[in-house]
Amino acid sequence: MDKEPDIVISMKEGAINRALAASFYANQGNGLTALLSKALQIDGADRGLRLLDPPMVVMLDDGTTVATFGAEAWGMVLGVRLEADVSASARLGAWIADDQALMEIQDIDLDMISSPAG
Amino acid sequence: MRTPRFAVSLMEGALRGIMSRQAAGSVVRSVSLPTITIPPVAPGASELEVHITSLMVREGTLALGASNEPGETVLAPPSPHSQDLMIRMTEPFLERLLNEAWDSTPHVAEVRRRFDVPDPRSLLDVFKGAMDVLLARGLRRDRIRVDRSWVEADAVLQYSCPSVRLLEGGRVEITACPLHIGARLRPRMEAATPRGFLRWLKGSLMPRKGREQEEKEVVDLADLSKEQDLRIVKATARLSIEGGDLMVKIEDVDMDVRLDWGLPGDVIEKISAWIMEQTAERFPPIRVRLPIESIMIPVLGVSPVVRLNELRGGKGYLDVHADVDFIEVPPPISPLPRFLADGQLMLVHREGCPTAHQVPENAKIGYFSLYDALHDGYRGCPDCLSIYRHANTTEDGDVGRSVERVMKKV
Ligand SMILES: [Zn+2]
Repeated sequence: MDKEPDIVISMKEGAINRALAASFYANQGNGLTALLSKALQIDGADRGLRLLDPPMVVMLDDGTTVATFGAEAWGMVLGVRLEADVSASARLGAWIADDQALMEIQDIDLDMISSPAG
Repeated sequence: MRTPRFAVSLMEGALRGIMSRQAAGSVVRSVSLPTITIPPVAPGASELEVHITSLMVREGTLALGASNEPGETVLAPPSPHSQDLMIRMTEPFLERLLNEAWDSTPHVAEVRRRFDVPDPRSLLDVFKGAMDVLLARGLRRDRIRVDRSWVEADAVLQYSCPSVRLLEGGRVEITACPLHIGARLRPRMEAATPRGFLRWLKGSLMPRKGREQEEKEVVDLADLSKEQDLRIVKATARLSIEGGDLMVKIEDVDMDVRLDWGLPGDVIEKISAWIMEQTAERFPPIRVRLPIESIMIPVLGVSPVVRLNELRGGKGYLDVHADVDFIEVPPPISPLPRFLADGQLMLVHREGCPTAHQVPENAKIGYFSLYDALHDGYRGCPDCLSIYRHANTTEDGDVGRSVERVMKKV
């Protein structure tokens, strides 16, 4: 029942970080890069995050990944849209099920960088 | 205009609240996984498709499992590695790659050798009929002297696809490899016969050194064609990396060679030993184009420059270690340029300009000097270098003249 994969691809986080930077500066990217940005680009009715720079990822011993990135964040408070550039760190869990990669944002920590004049 | 301080802290508090753990709850995103297409591992081979089937995060490492068949798999934690990348291939997968590569490997080797037979009588015993031919020419048996005898062997070795088993230390064991041998065997001898009278006369008029009284003749005792199917019982091969490819080279061969070729026993023994030696020596090296780059592109989303470093293996698997680089990320040694040019709109910004934010990453060009940027044909951004928004150096490439024109208009 426990089927082993034919190939195992094991990557050090240093290489993954260089790949994330490469795809960011080349304005392209699928695979892990797209997966991570999709996971981080929170989009909803009352909030949103858009990546501004290549995320940095650190793989932790507990199986979670911390992604740190600069983002444009916005949220609706009492019907008012608030926006700011933030530096965010999210703790992510990732797994695979039904040919899909699933990522869960377990925790997010924000630093305000600036808020646009307005 | 600056946002009032209270508004910033209000916004900060609100955003923190919105993005916090509770509010974010468990945001689960699902993304369909890319299929990895592995290009032909050898000319003429076919593509392979593999699916990402498992994922594991460990300290400092991300591991993905991929399989030919879709469906979840269970990943055993891969052994730690110091290089950027380690790709572990299971035995069946490697065997598959080798089989693909085998088809484009030449499987046929032609070999040739001459075996001296010190005692011609052994050959003459086997090929009695050949002697009769000489005798039929009227020569008496006691007047024929055999100087040398030998067997000329030409063989074509035809290898079939081997099955492989991975051993420790980057070695493979090859088992059950059928081998077909087609051979042409020509037992020959050089015989000295008494010279004919006329030749003798000619020889005595024009005497040569040695004053031979006889002439030598090469006599074919037989011309045999033999076919035989053999089997390489076991062979060990070493795996190595050559020019970025995986090479499989045979080191030694264990096989049963029993040739039923109607030659004297000692000759057959020599030929058998030779066949065995040639089988090992001529076993075609199998070259597998290792598709690491193609495996990594769909995974990473960008194409890395892969440098294969080493092979390590154990029972049932082979580990390929590699380092990867990305040309998009230069080494972190340069200071930050203060001017940022937009290669698409041909505008140059000051580094802190809010509009500079919108320049696509692959259109961004850093300039340390505004002069250089203008020289290269960039115009000033209307927001941050509006004075040069009409600068035009494309006519003469002369920044000074261009600035002069701009200043006159102001
Ligand atoms: Zn600007």
